[in-house]
Amino acid sequence: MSERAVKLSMILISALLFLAPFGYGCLEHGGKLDSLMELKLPQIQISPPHPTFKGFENLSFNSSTGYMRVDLVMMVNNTMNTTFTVEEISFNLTCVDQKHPGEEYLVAKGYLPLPVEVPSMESRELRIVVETTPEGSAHILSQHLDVGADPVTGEPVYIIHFVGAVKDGVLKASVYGVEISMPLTMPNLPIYFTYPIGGKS
Amino acid sequence: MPKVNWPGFVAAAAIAWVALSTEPWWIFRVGENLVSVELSPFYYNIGVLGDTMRVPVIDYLVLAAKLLALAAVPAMITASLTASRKASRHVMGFAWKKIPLYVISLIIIIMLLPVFASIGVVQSPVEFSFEMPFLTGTGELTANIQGISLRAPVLSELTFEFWKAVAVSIICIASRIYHGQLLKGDESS
Repeated sequence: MSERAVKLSMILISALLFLAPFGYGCLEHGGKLDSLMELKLPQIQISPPHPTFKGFENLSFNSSTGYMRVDLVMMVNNTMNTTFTVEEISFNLTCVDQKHPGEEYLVAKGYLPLPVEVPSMESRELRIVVETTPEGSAHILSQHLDVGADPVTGEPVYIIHFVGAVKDGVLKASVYGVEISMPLTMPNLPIYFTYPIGGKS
Repeated sequence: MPKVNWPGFVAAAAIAWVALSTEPWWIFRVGENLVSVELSPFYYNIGVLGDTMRVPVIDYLVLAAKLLALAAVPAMITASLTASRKASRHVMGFAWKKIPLYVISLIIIIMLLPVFASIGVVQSPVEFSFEMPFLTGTGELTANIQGISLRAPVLSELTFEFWKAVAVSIICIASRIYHGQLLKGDESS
């Protein structure tokens, strides 16, 4: 076999081996070249969690220091087809009462003690601990603490009431290893708690 | 006595060893199972949200690459057995280039990825940045959509299989050089 024939046959073998799979593919797909390039990607849907307010629970209040601790309960739904985790929730609760226009007092801080996993198509409760700061406790004692009667039982109760605002809040969640971080704000949040004098709520 | 290119046999075995492997040479991941790409000339796997995607054209490209690499094995053996014949250099030329060519092609593809990513960043309506690792390492994908920020780790890794292919490429180049020396020796004598 001449050198030239060897060279030519090597070129032909290369071309044949390279093109044959594509030719076979074309035949298999009915000659439609478009279908060879087709990539059907699933829709990537990452929806950030939107917690909804459910209520306050487990209020504890110390009338001598003004220290207050309460669980802010929120519900979160997972509409995605995978589990997501609410990793962190933190915010400042300030008092924006009309008694002191233009002034804001940092009353409490809120935080999620543990991450919460939300399975696909399910909902979970988020128990956010809200605790007053020492300045906030003093502010509640001096400005927003009244004594009244429980509307249901008629028992004497402490009444804590002010207009709050959630500031500098952040919600962090993770899904598919993607960290989602979103701001959490609530400009006007009416706070109204009653706590039995000398007893548990 | 006909001259034999002994390193060529080692190269032939090494080409077969690499071509028959179904392990990826390069792994690229965004987040955990959000997007994953495993790639070699003989195997690929594109995963999005844990589901495997197939692209027919890549299936056939991978098959073609495998057939060409496997054809290089008997070609390398034939060229090595007939090293004293001048025509064997064309057979050797067909055989030795395959794996080095695949290694270089893969490096070019990986190096071009940041370019494609930057085109995506420019054209995207969403404000996002893509910090791509160069060849291997970790980076980050960040996006900002209406105040919500997303951050995903990006991983690019050249596997042991890639370095195996680099070693096989060196063996192929060495056998080609030795083949050339054998032919040169014949021509001068």
